[in-house]
Amino acid sequence: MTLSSLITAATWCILGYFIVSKTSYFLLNALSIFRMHKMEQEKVMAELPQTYSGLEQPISLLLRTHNNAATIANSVHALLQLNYSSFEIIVINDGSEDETLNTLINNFELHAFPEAYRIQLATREVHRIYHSTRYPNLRIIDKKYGGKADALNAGINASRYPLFCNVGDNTILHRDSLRRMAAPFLTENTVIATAGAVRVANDCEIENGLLNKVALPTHWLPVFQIIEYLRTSLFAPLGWSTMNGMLIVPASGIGLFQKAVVIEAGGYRTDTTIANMELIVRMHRLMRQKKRAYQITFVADPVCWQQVPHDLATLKHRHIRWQQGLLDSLSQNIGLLFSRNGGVPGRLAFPFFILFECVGPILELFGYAFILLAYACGLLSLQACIAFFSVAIGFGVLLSASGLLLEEMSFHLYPKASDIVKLAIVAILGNLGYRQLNIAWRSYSTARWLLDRKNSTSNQNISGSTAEKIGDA
Amino acid sequence: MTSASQDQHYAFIAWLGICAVGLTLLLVLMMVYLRVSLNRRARKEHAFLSVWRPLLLSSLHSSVSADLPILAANEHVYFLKLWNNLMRTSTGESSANLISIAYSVGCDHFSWRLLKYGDRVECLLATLALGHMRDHRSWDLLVTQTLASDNATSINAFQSLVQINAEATAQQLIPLLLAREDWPISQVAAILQSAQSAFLQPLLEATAEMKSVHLVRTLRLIEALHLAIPQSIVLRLLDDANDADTLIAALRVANDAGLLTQVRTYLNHADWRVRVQAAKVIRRIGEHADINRLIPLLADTEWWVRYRAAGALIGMPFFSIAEIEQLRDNLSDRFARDMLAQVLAERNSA
Repeated sequence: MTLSSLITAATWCILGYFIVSKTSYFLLNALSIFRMHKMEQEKVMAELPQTYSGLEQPISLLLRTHNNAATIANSVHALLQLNYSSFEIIVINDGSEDETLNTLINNFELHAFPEAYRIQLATREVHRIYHSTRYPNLRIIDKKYGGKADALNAGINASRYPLFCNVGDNTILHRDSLRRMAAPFLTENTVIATAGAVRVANDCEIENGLLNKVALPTHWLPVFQIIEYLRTSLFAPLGWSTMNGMLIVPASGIGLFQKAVVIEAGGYRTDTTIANMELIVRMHRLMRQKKRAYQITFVADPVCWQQVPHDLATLKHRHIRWQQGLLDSLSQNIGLLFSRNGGVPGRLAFPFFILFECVGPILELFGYAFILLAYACGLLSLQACIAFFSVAIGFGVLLSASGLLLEEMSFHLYPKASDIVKLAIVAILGNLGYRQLNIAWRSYSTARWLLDRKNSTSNQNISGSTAEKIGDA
Repeated sequence: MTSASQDQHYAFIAWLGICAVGLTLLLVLMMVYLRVSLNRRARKEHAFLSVWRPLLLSSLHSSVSADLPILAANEHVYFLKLWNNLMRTSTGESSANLISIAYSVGCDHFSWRLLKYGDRVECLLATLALGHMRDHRSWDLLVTQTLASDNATSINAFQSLVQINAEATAQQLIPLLLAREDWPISQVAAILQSAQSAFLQPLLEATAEMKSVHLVRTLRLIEALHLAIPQSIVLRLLDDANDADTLIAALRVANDAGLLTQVRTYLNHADWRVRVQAAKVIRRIGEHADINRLIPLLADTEWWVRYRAAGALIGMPFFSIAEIEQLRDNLSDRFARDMLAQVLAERNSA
């Protein structure tokens, strides 16, 4: 085989990959239209006054905090204002070395309580549990530092209710967020988890820790991230959710889980980068393995808001972390891949994520580098080069625009015409540098993960014994 | 492949990319269209509300004159949304006035049409409206809707039937109500709150079928509605039930002291969920003699059994706090001691 034919073959492989990958995402967006149509219909019903029987499943809200003395009181006050029939708040002080605990004690009139702490998931040592005399539904667990997953496991141990929701202390919720997250549990008996969509909170109006009014960020970088979130963290999961194949959930989002299933799955793993993401994959694996009817649903309503980075260094760090979370989640549940009873998650979603999300960034980066280099060296024709860029950029722009269109069809979060124009411009510009930068960061993350994998897996262990059992099976 | 044919293929791929850009432009145009039509719809709804909201709100306090504005066909859905919204919170005369207005504008007729030919939202709004209007003529249409596979449609149709005639619904639809496992108990209970008496007898009759696959659901509904279930039925269930789920459901509705002998036998059941429920029943109906039966449960392997046993002990009127504290100090099992301490602290802080 000559060099020329090798280059031709490689070029066609790259072109084929780009076309298949972009078309798949476009199809996911198309799928999410069906789901959104149903959601639009349900929205009309949701706007009517709701009848509650008092039998709705109560929720334990878990908030892990570590050295957050400055903001923790506001975060807890915000949670206390949530609108739901019955919920408790469990704040897990994960070995803070600052004034976090004292701030909590002083602000919420806490006193040490002789609680018979129930160990269902192994965690680092719990020093003490506090109850609030002012807010009967507020408890604080003071424990030795063990990281987010360990803290959440401690929170699960202490929780009293059948559903739990983990929120980060930088997460901004809407007053109705819990009700929206819990709605699928009320209407479908087989729901075991719901994952919430994440939206960009920069420059939005926040009042008492809760979102009051949506606004488009003034800085350009967060606007680029809005389009990115629409593509990857909103309509892609929604598309998968229509087939009960939502394997990977938004990394920074919130989740509402059925506690019994989570405990059966072994709780949160402490050796994974993004605990929620991995847990969802493991729950799919458990339910598939046990051949039980279940649903893991995506709540596309804007329930959770976050400040996104407005500098490239933080953004880079975040993308690297998310990619590692994805790689961890899939590699730690590789047993689901093409498993006998894997269904959509094992036979379609898992290979999809491996091909387009794990290996994808490296392949795409290689594609850009290869085509440019081959063209520069005179080994590739101008037509081939144009063909590649028209596919890579053209399809990218189409995907971004379709995400924006879906947003406009469903939520209309940005009501001003000037906002839509700005977003449309960013949807185009985002494919001319920003997207390629993301691919580069994620490729770097994948490469680093592959190199570090041996060390990281041998040095850490799994928190729950059941997690190991599922892994063995 | 020759260079010329390759270039043709590349050109084709390039055209694909250009088509994608063309499609993007189409999407942008769609966005503009959507925004324009959304604004137009919002204006229309606003205009409708500016006329009808004050009118319907005033009808909540006094009956409205016969000179009602004409309701255009494209305003039917707006009307149903507004009217259903007000009906959900109205009672007595306000409700009667709203129903009178609905009949005056032909709401029954256009609701029937929407129920038959409308999309899912229109169908749901029409279903709710016909229920609020207590429209007997819609009975058959609504019964058909209860069979829909979509649980939102079917459960709302059931709700409307209950509003129209609770007794007839109970007689006709109890088997369906019990068989529709996709209708969440919490929602069904909310619907039946106002029609408990109509459903009491049919639900009690349904418990006669010991082998019914819906027995647990029946008992859970009885519990959710706080219906008084005769002791003889619970006694029979506790005696004859073989599976833990039925036992749990039966224990949850056991409130009579005459059941104590049976309940006590379940304090040592193999399934911890049964032990939990048995301890809870003992808290409600237990006697002094049950103290010694509950104390061993404080050292149960399951947290919830320990918690409920401690709760039962503390809740017993003939067991003083001093005695409980003494018991706590004398317990050798650490878990039992911790649990009793927690429940004591909970009682003190309550």
